[in-house]
Amino acid sequence: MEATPDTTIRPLPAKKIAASRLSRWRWFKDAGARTMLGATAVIICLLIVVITAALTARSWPILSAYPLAELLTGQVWQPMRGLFGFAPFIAGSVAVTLVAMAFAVVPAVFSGMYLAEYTSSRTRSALKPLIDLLVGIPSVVYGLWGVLFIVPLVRDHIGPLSDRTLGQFFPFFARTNPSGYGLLAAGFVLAVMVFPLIVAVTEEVLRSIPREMRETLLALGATRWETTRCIMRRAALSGTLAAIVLGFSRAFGETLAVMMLIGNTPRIPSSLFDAAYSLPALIANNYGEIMSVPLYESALMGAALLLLIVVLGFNVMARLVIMRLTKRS
Amino acid sequence: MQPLSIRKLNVWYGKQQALKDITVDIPYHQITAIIGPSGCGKSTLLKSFNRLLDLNEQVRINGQILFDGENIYAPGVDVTDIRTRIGLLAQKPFPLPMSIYDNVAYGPRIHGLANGNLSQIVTAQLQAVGLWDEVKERLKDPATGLSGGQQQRLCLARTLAVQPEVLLCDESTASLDPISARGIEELLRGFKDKYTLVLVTHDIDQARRLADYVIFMWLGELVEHGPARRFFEQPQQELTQAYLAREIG
Repeated sequence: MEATPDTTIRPLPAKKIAASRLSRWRWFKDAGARTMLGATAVIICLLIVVITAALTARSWPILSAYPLAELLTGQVWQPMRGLFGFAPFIAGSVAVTLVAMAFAVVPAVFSGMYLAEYTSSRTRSALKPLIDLLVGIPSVVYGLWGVLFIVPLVRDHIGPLSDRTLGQFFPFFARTNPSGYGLLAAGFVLAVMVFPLIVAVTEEVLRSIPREMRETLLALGATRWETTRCIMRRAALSGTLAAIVLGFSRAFGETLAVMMLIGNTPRIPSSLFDAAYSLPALIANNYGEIMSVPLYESALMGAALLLLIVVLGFNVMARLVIMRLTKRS
Repeated sequence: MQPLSIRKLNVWYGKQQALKDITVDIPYHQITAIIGPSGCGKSTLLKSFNRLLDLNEQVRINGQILFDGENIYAPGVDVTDIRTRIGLLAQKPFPLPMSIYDNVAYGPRIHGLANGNLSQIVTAQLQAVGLWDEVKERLKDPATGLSGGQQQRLCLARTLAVQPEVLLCDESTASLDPISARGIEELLRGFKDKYTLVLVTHDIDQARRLADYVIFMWLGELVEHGPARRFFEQPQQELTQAYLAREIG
């Protein structure tokens, strides 16, 4: 290729060959598109860094005023007296998420398996939009549904029943709170909210498994269930775990519905019926109020940072699990 | 004795008819080759034998396939039993994502054939496909680490471990290098006394080398079938003559 006058802007020979065939305007558009698309992608990746940095900067005052261990394990939240213990909120968030996962995981994974392996494409195309619809319902609607139906149900029926039976033997099932607002109601509604997400991801994971695997197993005379089980165990396990972790992150970060149902009492829960308080609810309920209290804003920023770290942490953990599992197979 | 008798079999993919009125018998303990150009319906015919065709929702089937005198498309037939007795070796080797050992052991395990001597079965089948010496040191390794030819022999061992009566091969050597392909051919030839073999191939020479009986398909129709010698030396139909002379296809 002979050199063209504008070689300076095309440093690599490979590019020179390619560009010389294009008109300058087309080359310019192509390079422009590459730069713009690349920049968008980079900016999106940078967002996470920027958010983390901002949160860290804003929560720095509280982090430098108290030792981290004291903040994380402190059980008293009284900003007026300078007491910023996050433990009740962390415990509340973890507890309500675990309750939600206990309700959601098994039915969601089973539904995903059913959708992917058992239904005809016609049934699937009828059911999938329905599930996507569930994902799209605003949290406040879920919250209201919880307030109107689940809280009374827990208050009038499930609570008393549990207290009379399991509660006699296990304090975890004792009805400690007659209002109905608490871990159980919030956890159940949260389960309904993350259910469609786990179903959808599980289904997608299973459907991404090569068709040949299904055919191979069926051709060996395996039943539907044996086929599904083998696919699940040998090929889709990591993806399903990822689905569950995604559900966990989603539940952990859910703010509004939990706030409406959990009772907002900053105390480490010990029973399924206890009222508790979640980290997102703490931030949402208090940000913008009594900001004159020293370190208050910084403490809420700290809570947000903690939330971010936990959710990111779970995602990274999931990726590691997936990497290990896919390497094995 | 005809283990497989196809009677007036019609298959549609949606509105398109893929098989038209096929009636033919598959001879017992011989190698039957189904030949014809791509898209002629030979794989469809093969997959109708173990009802793997049913997996495609678009497919509509009528007619009968009699296996040991029983119509496998009759209502109430146990499909898993059909697929256990009629094994399939697919076009591309697909080792299950598990160890070499487990690949072969999977079938005997689910069918309860092991009776405590699973490793004997695995050993025997790996020996039968000539893979034993190559893998005996690494039975616990993932099967995906094997070469293409080894994988296909593993798949063969896996299919045989279920103890089928009929073995279907869907262009099972097409994706392999010539040496591995010959290896598989040799194995199949040796299996004649134990199994009824049906293989789909677009390779006329392979059919010549292996087949005892040939079925020639064209655009979903069965053009000609008969014993291999007669089929290749004195083809009756013009279409067959033209195809064998490689004038069409």
